[in-house]
Amino acid sequence: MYLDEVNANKRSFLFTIQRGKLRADQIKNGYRLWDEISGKRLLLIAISLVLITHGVIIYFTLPRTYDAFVHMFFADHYARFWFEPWEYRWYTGFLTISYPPLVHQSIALLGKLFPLKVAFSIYSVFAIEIFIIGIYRFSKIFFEKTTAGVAAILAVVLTSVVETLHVFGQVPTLTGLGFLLNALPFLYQYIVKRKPIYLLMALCLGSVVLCSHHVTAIFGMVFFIAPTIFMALTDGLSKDSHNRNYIVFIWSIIKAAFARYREILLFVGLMILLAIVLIFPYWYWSSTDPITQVSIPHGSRDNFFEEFSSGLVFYIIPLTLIFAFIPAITYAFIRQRRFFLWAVSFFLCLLLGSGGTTPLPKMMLGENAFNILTLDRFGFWASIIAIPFMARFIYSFLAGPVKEFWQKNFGSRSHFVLSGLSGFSYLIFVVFIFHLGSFRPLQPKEVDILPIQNFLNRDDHMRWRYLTLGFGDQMAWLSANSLAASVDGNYHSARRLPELTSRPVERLENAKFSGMEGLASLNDFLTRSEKYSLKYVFSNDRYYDPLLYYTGWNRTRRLENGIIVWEKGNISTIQPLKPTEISPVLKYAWGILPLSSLGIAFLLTIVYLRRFKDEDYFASVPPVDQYYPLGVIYTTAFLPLIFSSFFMCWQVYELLLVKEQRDPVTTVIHYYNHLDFQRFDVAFRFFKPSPTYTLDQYLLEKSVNDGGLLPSYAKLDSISVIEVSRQKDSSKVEVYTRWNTSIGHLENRETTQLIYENGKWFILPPVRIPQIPEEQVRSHTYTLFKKQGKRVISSFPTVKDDRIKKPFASFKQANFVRHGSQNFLVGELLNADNIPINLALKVKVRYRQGEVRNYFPTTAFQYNIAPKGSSFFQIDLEDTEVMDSLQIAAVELYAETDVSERGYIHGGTPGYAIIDMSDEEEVLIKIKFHNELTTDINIPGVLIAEKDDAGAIWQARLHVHPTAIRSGFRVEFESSFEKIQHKAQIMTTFPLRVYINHKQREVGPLQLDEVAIRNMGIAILPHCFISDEIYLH
Amino acid sequence: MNTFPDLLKLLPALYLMMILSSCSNDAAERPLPTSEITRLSIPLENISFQASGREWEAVLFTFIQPLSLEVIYTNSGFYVSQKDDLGVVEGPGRICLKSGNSHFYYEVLLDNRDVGVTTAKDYRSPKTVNVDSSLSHQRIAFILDEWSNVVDPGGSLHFFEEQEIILTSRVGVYRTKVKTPLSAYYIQPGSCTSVPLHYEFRPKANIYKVMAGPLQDQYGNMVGEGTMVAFVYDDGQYTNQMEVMSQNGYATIEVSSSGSTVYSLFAKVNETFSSTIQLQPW
Repeated sequence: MYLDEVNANKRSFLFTIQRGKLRADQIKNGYRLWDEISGKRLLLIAISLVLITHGVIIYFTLPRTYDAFVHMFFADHYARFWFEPWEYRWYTGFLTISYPPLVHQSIALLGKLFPLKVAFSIYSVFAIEIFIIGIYRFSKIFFEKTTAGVAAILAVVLTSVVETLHVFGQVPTLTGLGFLLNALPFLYQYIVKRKPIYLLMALCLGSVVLCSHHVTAIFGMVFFIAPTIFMALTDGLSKDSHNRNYIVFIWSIIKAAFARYREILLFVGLMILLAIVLIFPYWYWSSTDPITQVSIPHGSRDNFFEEFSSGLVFYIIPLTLIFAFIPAITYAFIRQRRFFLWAVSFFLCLLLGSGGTTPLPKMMLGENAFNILTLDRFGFWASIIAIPFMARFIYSFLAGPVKEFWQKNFGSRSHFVLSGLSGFSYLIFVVFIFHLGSFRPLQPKEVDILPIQNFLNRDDHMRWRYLTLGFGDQMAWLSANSLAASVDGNYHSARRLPELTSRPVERLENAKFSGMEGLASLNDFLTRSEKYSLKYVFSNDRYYDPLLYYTGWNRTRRLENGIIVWEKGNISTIQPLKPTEISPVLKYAWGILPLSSLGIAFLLTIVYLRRFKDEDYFASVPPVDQYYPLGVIYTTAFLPLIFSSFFMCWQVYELLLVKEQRDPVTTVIHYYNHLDFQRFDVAFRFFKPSPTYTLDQYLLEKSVNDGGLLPSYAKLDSISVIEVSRQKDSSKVEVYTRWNTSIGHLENRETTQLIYENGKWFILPPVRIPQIPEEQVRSHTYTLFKKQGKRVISSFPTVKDDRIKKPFASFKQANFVRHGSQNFLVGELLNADNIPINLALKVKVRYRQGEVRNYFPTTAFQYNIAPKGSSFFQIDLEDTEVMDSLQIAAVELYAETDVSERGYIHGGTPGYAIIDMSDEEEVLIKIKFHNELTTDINIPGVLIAEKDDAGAIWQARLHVHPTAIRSGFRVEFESSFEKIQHKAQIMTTFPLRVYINHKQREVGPLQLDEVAIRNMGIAILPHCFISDEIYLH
Repeated sequence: MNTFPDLLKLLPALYLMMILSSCSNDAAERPLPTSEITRLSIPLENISFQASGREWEAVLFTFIQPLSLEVIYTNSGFYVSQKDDLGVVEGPGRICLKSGNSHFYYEVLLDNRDVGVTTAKDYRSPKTVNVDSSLSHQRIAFILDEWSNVVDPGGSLHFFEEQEIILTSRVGVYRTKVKTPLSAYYIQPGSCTSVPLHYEFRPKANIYKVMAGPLQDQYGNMVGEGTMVAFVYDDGQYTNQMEVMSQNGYATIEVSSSGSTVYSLFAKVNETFSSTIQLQPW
């Protein structure tokens, strides 16, 4: 009985299909009015939807996007210097001709009327409106107008589009694609009808694509223009050719292509000519200054099975709906031969968008292109190609034959429920994507840049460069609002500084996310700051504090927005740099042609609409019936609901229902994860519940026991948990953790006990033995300094009346030491003055062929010394092989001094004893550190020097302890130290000259160090980091 | 409306606008001064020019600043005068007369009729002297008039008075002019010459209080505030180093007593060492 009913329904469905054919015939015979009106109405709805969705929210989502601020920075450049492509504010200068300017110039123009963020938002809405119109017009070359209208509405809420705008902020991509989609129907018509007006319009809109986004223009030729030409050629064939076998069909296409070779060549030739002329400066830049940098890792190139989070952001979220519609899309592709090349494009884009999940994309693109391109754009293009086909099915399901079939077989109620649930779950999913930046923060919290702007505008601070740390893409927003220059930047293709291009580092400001390579690059800039006139660092992340401190940076103030300003003394102001020469003609062309292309496109569109638009514009597009096989109908009807609701359920599960304490290993891993992100209240819940061990007690114990490099300035790199033993309700695990800090890796090993209660594993809190200091109140006498600064209130540079002298310093000794392949300059430097001073050291090695190379100290030096205090130093040079091959002519050691703003305490009383490790070359230094200060010593450290019996220093290095010392307490730690004086040699075959403040000085006579002699040649100095801002109050 | 034909209608109007904008006035003729103006005394008396037209502006460019002049027209031309009675920086200057796009310059030599209120200046070099180095000081004195011109007080073209002064070895902040902080120069203490060391045992607190000082330079001045003094003490096992900064010539530390341990301790300021003492409670 039931089968009969189904068969009857199937027959009925086939009848419906026949009716679909009838309807198509009616359309062809002139019954197009309804379709015309409903298509345009749907387009108007889509345009309105853009305004009330994207238009309302864009202003609030753009600060959390990846790229919005970069484009605003470029827009700010054009607002300030329209005809000058040299932008000095990033990377010590780069050319903005390295990116097509149309979008940025348009925002710059709007920026003359509105604030930059508002201008960007307005432009984004404009871009997406153009894009939606483009989708409508693009869909019309596939199907009738009602489907095109549905496609336009679908595009408004398509996750790939939402993500591109609201998560990635890629407005140029959207602009380029929007105009490309508008250009394609003209190209199609030109190939079909051969009317010059279509060629003109296609070229005109294509010009806007070229001026908006070069990558879209280049790949658009392959993935969009070629299938369009192919489809136009197919539509020009006779009906017989469609029905013959593939070989005959292909042969017919080839013949058709030859028949229209003039049109094809003319379009392609003119398009290439326009590409060359309109953005010639870009090609000029590409050829004269090619990108030769180490590839920067990007999540879109990951293997998505291994890096699921990358797959989620770059593949699953944008393409969820596309995967749900794959059966319908695929069926539509194979149903008509005119879609053949679109199918190739779609699946190719889908494959390339899968990044490194399979080796195929790398094989197809080649190693170089694979490592330069961000592959998520291919997935985005696949989703755009899929839109008309998805719209076709949706239309059919909601108001077409599929609906009729469904209602007949399963009733109208089930159709309504299924449609409603699918739509609702998808819209919830889209709302989630709109706020993805809030749920899964891609950027640090918003920073109020006004205090930084004020700081940069004050006291000539703009005469030096600055660097931001922990700002995310907001660094570009700061740059857009200031004329001050930064060594960092956010446009990777324009980077040319060797410290940046030689390592896979995205930006300096988020160096910690690039691992040790990133920190090495940051370290280069912080130590070679003089080379780049880098004087100020604005830090929004204390992770970098140890590195800043130990490379000679001083905290000067905390701004109103909580940003700490770090400053380095003795840095020269920015020296005038000659911009890369570019012809004035090219500058004017760059400033005029792109925007003109947009203006001409608009004017010509108006002219076209008024004078040339055909009434029967898409008559050549063959009518397509809405037949879908049952398998496709069933799967495609359910998959969107399944995918969307599964994703949302999975998100809810991740947020609320993950069993973090299901076994001992999982428990410990999650506990450390929460600790790493400083979610202490959540971490506390992993401890065995006890009325005597409260959250308050936990936090209290933590505050008195924790602190230091490991607990406060480290990021968990990896964790390994091994269950050592398990009894019925208890377990013992060994936890090995590896932590990244800004001054190197730390490793830790702990044993943890767990018990099983109420279906969960709990950690037994570690037993803390409280240390009680003897004194109830501690006192310490500090000597603080205050540099008065300028004493004449004037915005003019310092005049003689308020000039402060350069402090005196002297080299107690300086030695060029060669130890195997290592070379370094070591010695001791004295502050001979009565005031605390900042010191900057630089070694200039002159080689025989005239080459000069500079080297700077890193962490083995106290950059700030009290009156009559001294510090060891070590400056690492190059490999022996390199130095010998270049032949050293002379070595010059320069010290620059200036008055310290406040002085600095290096802290604590280190006591040390040396234990001979029976090996003559290696000793063990046992250090007992006492903190007699009234503040914690966050990172206890000592500067260790090896001296010989005559007092000559052979090496110096920093050793730090991972945990803090509270006031009044002591810690003990050890450091093994390899002595080198019996293996190394002090080089005297070339002159070593020393200079203090650019005046040549003599090195003082060697002094015996009896303390070092008593301690097997080891001398130490305290060198601690104290984070308490006692100097800033 | 048809767009192109309408635009074509606008072309004649655009052409006319271009023609009009290319029109310009005739260039003005150079005004002739009615008397010699190579040397002018400030405040200016009226300087008369023969000229045509009534759209003249006049500016006097002195060595460092422009002064706008008043233009009063007569039948034969105009004369210019100063709007106030202020003086200028003397020396070469130029009068600029402007009419439309035409500019005419007249080289002049400026001097003031009156010196106004004078100010005595006394500069010392170097501003900071360390007693370890030379105590000699170079002084240069001169007088400035109200308009920042150096005045020749005797009329014998002897503008500056130079002296070499031997300074006192007493550390301090000195002023060349009373109540003028900017005229200050500084004599700073030199290097520490000896490090006297004392200690006492405080049984109640069970600590040794060790004091280094008075720390003085060769002239008996206390060393600079914040001078680093390193106390190095050995308990037979560990060598401890405590760095403190001096205050008023003294540096003090406290060392916890540990039973019968005897500490040997010395202090140093740079390469000046104290004698080594033994810290013991009895």
